[in-house]
Amino acid sequence: MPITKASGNAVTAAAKGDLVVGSATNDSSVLAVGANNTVLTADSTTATGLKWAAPATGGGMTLLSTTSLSGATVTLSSIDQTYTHLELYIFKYTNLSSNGALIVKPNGNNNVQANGGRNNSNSAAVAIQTDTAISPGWNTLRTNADNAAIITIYNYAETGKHKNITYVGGGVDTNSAYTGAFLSGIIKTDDAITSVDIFSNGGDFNGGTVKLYGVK
Amino acid sequence: MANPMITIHNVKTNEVIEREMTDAEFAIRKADLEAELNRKTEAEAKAQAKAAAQAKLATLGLTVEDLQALGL
Repeated sequence: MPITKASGNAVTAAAKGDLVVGSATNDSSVLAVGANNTVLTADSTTATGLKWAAPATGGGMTLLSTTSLSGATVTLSSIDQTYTHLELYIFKYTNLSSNGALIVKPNGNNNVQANGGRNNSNSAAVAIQTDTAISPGWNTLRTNADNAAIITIYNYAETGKHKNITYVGGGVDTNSAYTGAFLSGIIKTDDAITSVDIFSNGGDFNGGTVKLYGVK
Repeated sequence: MANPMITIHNVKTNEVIEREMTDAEFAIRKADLEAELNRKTEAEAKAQAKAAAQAKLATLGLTVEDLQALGL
């Protein structure tokens, strides 16, 4: 349908999806429909002040890697630096020969300051970590696959500041008691976190999985 | 004797390499395990010392709450 412009000329929305938009004072033009699933977006650099663009992505978690736990150490390297936070989900980990505590070293360094604790029906203990790796400080029963931990490293890609961490874990201790544990603290590094080492002081892993998520 | 195995998962390329640790990596691992053991031993010693102190209090007819009431 032709639309008469203020100048007296007419523009026509001739095709499906065409939009007639103002392009200057007392002037109009046709903006053709964009690609499927794009949205109309303001852009002062275009002739019409509008463009079709992909919608901005919202927050959420993206699975970056899934790794089976085996051998003495598992290293996740070359971690994508485009997310806001990192989340490590380590689950069903067992040890081959001895009970042991899960240990995680960001960038291969022992520079974590963290406090927390653990408790179960038999005991409770405070955990204080000074210049160590991330570790809850309690041994899990090596044959029980109910052990799991979620470690979040906040603002891991930022430089020039320390990174906060939280550890939330649970599992079965060496007395077969179900145990909950929590740690919070900082990694004392100004560097971005690009890798993590995962191991246990119980020796080789006999099973388990680590999933690494990037969080927006 | 062979060194322990290490798995390196390159998150960017999704390449997974499993190999023996180098001697340098193994040395770091041993130091880490020793540090963890020392930390655990120290924590246990503190817990035992606390329990022993509480037992001594009990023989005197005192409790932790009694000490707190005294501002100790």
